Amino acid sequence: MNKRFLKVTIFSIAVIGAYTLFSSLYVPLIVPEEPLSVEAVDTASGVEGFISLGEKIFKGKGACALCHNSVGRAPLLENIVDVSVTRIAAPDYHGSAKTSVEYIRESLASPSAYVVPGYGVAGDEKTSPMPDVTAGAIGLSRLEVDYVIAYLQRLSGVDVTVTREAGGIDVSGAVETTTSAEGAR
Amino acid sequence: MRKRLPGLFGAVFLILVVLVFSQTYAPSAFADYGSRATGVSTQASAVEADNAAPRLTKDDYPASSIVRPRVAVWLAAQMHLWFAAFVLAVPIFVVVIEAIGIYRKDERYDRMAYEFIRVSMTAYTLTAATGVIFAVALFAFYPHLMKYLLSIFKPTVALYFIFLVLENAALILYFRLWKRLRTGAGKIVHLCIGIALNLAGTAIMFVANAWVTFMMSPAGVDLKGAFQGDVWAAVHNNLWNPMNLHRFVANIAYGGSIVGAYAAYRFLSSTTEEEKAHYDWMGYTANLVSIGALLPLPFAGYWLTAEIYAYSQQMGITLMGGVFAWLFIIQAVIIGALFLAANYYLWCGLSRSEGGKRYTPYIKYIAFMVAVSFIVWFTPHTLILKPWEASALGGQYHPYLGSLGLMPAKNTAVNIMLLFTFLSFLFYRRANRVAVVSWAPYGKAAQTAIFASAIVNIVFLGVYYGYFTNTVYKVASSVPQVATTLVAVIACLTIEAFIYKGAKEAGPYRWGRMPERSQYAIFLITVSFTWLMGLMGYVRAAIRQHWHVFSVMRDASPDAFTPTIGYAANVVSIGTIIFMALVVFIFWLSGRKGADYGE
Repeated sequence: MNKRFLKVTIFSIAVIGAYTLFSSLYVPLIVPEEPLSVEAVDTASGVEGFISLGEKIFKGKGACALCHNSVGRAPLLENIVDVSVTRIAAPDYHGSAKTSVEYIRESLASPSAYVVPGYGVAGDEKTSPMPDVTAGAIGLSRLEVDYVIAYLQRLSGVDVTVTREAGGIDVSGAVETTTSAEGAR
Repeated sequence: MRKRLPGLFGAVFLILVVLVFSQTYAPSAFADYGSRATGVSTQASAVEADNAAPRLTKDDYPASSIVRPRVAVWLAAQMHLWFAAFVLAVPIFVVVIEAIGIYRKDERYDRMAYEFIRVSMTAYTLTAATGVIFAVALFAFYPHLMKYLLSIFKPTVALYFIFLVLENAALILYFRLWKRLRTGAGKIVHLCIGIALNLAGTAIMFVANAWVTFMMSPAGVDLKGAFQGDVWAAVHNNLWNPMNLHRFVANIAYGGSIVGAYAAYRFLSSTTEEEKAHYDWMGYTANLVSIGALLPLPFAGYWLTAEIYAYSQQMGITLMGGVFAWLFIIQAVIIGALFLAANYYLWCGLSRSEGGKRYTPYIKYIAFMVAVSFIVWFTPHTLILKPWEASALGGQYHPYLGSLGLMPAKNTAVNIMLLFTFLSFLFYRRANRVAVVSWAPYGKAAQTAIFASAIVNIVFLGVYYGYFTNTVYKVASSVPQVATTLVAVIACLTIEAFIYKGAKEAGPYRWGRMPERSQYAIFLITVSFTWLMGLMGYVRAAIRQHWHVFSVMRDASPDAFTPTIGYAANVVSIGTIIFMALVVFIFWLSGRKGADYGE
């Protein structure tokens, strides 16, 4: 009786041990990023600080990199500034942006203003599966959206025009207007 | 001991009621954080601010120098969930077995059902005890979260306790009246009490699921978490029904595995052939229920995951494609081990009859297919590589094996594994039978054709959707693949029933003629189930990341970070060891006097 009890116990612990070792040793250690605190974001200054925080938000709090990556769930954003001009002119576009900065800002809040062909929700090419990142679980603030835009400008290889010094305003020459989505917020 | 159980249970229950209600209606215990929460100053907004989700700081969480609050709550919650699954699952199993016994007029079923409801009595006490510990830990370490949740779910807390009282009343009647209501109409009345017990138990689970799923997909509140007054909307959130179904099916599978472990333990301890035969039969029946419920479980899980994606794509991708992607590799390994163990047990079962020898040559082929599917299932997609390794490989993905890491390949592997497990079951069923109908060879040929076509279709769907369509459509293969598997299983079983109608026996069927090692396959299934439940509990909670209530109430405690999978595995293992030790204690306690059925 005792011998059997011991055998069953040893067997059970061995199974649990095997699963534990597999999870600890075979599975690579991925430390999830800590959420950015509001205080950390507010301390950014200078163009490089803007871009650096934009990258952090892009890969962290903003959850952008979860889909905008090489796997292909969402379009890559390496040349988003260039393609935004074409998209604003596209017949399928029904937003109100006039410049690339406005387009990016609008896309973050109203992703369905323009849906890149092949990236709509299943069965509805006109609706984007992307959430409004300025609300809900992601909830980027106006300033955080500016950081992301600055990062995307750097990614596209163009001059970064959105900085704190510029008050978070596009100074590329175009006059920025409040988009309908922002107005609604 | 057994006579004291209802009293002990009642005392624990009373403490639980007092604790929860004293916290619910004790405003002095909590700070007034309403206006601080939102910072709005207009009069109209102030009303909204009163019931908005509080914005907390680290100072709002009581510190402890004795235990890590999150680990304490985590272990208490997991322990309670395991026991709750035990006491919800076993009565389902017991009532089903009792009903089969009535239908077949076979007293063995009734004896098994009684034996197990007796075992469950101690488990009920432990469920209540762990529930109290869990509630105390939550109120002690997360008072503001509990205050917020209770402000929304107060009516359901009352409902929870009503169902709890009903469940306990039904349980006591069900157990105490077993011998008195043993025959005739009394037996049907007894069965109805058992059904009432299960209805109340399932209702309790549904209520608790509403609280848990609200934290993942809040509904009935605005963006700031302010409750809009409709409790049903908060209960009936996006994930409530999928979670209800998933947990219900999982409980049946888990209940079967626990009964199986009990039977295996008693089988190994048996000293007579008669006892061995009884516990062998009990173990087989329990496993049949367990694996039978395991088969649809991935599909219930699929619905739950699809609803998570539908509610929040961010949450869905965090779950399947983010830091938790590797967790599903671990899940694949464990479920693969479950299937291998289940198959192995069925293969050992062929030795119960002389006719089983006819099918043993096929075992190696089934084993090969299950093993290959297993390997495909746990092939990772993205590899974590050092720069020189990535350079040598030519990228982040393996050039040949990388494609096996995609979801369509895994879906294909799972479905093939299910089909071959079904084949093992089919061979086991046939082992001691000889068909007498003249068209039996044609029927078997039709079964073979259906089986082969199903595999071809599953592979085609996996390859087509996986490698010739856009990323967003890659998971579209899963539904037709599942449908193919289900159609093949149902069609083959239907034909099988007609082929073996009035079949002769190949020889005497010998329950108890099983090697001892077969019983360890049952232990493997039970331990794996328990560990897997713990792991999936971790990921279900962890995909909320730094939110108590996703998107409306942020976790600002020092433990707000998401723990790594390795860390979670350690916590789950510690919990599993404690839980299994308590389960063995329950088995030992109920086995001390032996089965008293009919005495």
